[in-house]
Amino acid sequence: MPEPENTAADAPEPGDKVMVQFRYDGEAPPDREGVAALFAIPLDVIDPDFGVIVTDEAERLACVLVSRAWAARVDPRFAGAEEPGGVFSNPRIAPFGPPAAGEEGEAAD
Amino acid sequence: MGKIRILIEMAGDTNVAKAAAAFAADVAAEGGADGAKAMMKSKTVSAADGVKGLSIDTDFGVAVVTDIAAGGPAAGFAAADGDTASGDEPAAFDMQPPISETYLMRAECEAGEAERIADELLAQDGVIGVFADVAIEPCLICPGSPPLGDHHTVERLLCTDALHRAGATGEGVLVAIVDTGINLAHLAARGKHPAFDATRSWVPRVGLVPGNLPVGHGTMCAFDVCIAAPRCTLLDIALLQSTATGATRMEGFLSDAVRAYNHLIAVMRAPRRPGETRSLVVNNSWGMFHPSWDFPVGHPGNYSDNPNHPFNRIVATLASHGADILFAAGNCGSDCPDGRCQGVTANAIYGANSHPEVLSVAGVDTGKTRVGYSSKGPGRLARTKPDISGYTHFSGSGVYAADGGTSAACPVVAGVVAAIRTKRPFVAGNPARSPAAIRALVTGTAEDLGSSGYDFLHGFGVVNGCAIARQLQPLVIDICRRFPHLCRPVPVPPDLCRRFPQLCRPIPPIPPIPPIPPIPPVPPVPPIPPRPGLDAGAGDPYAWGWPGAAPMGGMLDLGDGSALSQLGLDDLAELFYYLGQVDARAGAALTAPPAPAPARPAGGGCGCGG
Repeated sequence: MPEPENTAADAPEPGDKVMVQFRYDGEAPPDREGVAALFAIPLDVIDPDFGVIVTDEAERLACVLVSRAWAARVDPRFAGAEEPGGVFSNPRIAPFGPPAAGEEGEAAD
Repeated sequence: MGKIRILIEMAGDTNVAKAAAAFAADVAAEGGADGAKAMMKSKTVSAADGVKGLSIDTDFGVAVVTDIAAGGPAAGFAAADGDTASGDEPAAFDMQPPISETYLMRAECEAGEAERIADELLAQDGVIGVFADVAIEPCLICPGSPPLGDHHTVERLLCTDALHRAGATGEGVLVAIVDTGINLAHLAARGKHPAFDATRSWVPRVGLVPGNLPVGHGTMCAFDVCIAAPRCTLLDIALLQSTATGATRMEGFLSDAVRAYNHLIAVMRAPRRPGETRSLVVNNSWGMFHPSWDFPVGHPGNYSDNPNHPFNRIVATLASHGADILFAAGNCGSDCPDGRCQGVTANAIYGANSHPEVLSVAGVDTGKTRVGYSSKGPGRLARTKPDISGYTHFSGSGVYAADGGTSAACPVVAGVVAAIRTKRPFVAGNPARSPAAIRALVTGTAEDLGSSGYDFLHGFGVVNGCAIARQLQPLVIDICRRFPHLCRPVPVPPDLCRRFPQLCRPIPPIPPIPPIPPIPPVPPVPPIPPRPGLDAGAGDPYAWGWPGAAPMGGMLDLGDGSALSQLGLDDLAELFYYLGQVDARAGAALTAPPAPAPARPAGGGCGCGG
């Protein structure tokens, strides 16, 4: 069966948040305030529970979790198509537990 | 329409019975030919063979169908000497209850004519029934199937006894159950008592208590890890507890996984505690069910096919710190996928579940048949996924009717990896202890299933704990068993030069040969006085004989030494042992000092010690 056509715009919700990955200078990434200044976005749109997480030490990559609406306003320098930096999906995940039949496939648990 | 096969049930006659016996005796050899001849002599068979459009399969032959119950429940009893109603005579029980036998043969016909042919056959004498001979195949485990086997079956299949005898128990190894949370009380009630570390566990929000979360999917995974690694140390990484908008029960978002992995990297970087190795096994029995959950393929922010996605990056980072990461392949196998796959079963191993730095685990039942819902490769990030199969759909944790899905297969393999890590802990900088080496060990020892070698259904095959246990056994060579003469005790080395000076003659020097001073005559060795308890006789533990030596007052007559050249290594060893004993005892028993050793010429090449 062919995959359904879907676009970033209509991808169902990871709620309203996406991840923004960026390359940092120096030994450690900036804190939330530093990232907000870097991206030119308000501090409170950067998820405080998630914080700033280093995803690749060797390549000095880190990411933050921001609301989808604000991700579009992130400085385009951080959204290069071929670069590891940019705006990334935050898809739902679910257990691969005892499988369930049926169209909706409600998990057995 | 093509041809179909039918089965014809017949009452027996002499020739049919003879044919059946011949086929049963040896179908492949002459019995098969004899059986076919006898079969065609049967009136019933030859009549059936005359039905237009029907072809009897003589290769199938005739099979006996036995119906023991045909005689009815009372048929086995027979009255002894007539009347038993009086109760005076006991009822006799016939140990051979009446058996009804019929016979089956197979035939082939056009599917469109099957009905007419069946009617004609049933009209003949001796034909009891006509049945379809339907094609069959192994029954696949699907969603809702009952469990096949239990966790003890899995223990046997994994050779956990051998693993544990080899010291591979998971002790000292951290196993992170990245899932819905663990309930330790339930594990204990089911007989599993792993160590647990609450301080290094992780929950996504305040109010959740690691190790005391509701019994569910994560508890099943923890139980299944403990099948092979009962002494591991569990970490409860209760990822799938998201309350974010849009989440349903027992779900989460990938950003939760990024947080959890950030925590696990901190665990790997922290100093280990006494008794712990630096090993961390990470079990992930979760993932994405459908591409529509993600940005589309080709979008720079896509997860499923994009190694640059933050989660795929952080998975590689955790692996670079030495963690062994396992992901379930998924439940979107084409034979009977989970409903949430929405029919998408091709290339359904998404994102990190197909990461090149992880073990991607497919599912087989305890009969080693792939479960129908196990996702097939190729994978999205790395093509050769899944890597390995694990056992699933067995009765185990008691959380569900069956510990099912690739969710159960993954922790079964994770437990084996944890067991291995007890014996081969991660050591930074040692390629033989890297996660890649462990993956190579697991896949390299797998029992091949399906088509020969790697395939997209089973990976390299099902995890083989028996072969791994053999690899983990230390290589021990029992020197003393193989070469007992090397291990024979030699309490005192004999003074060979004193006893056998002919063995110690100097080696002729290389020319120019310096003049060799004459060897002074060897003074006679004084006779050894009688030694109570030493000479041959009762009470002397060394009074055994040596065939090459003739006792001469405590001395050995070696003659011209030619006897020595006749001896084998074992005989010499026996001799030296004997002489050592004699010397030791003589030294203690003699009151007079031993005769001086003959002066050895300067430059002599003996070098023997006393």
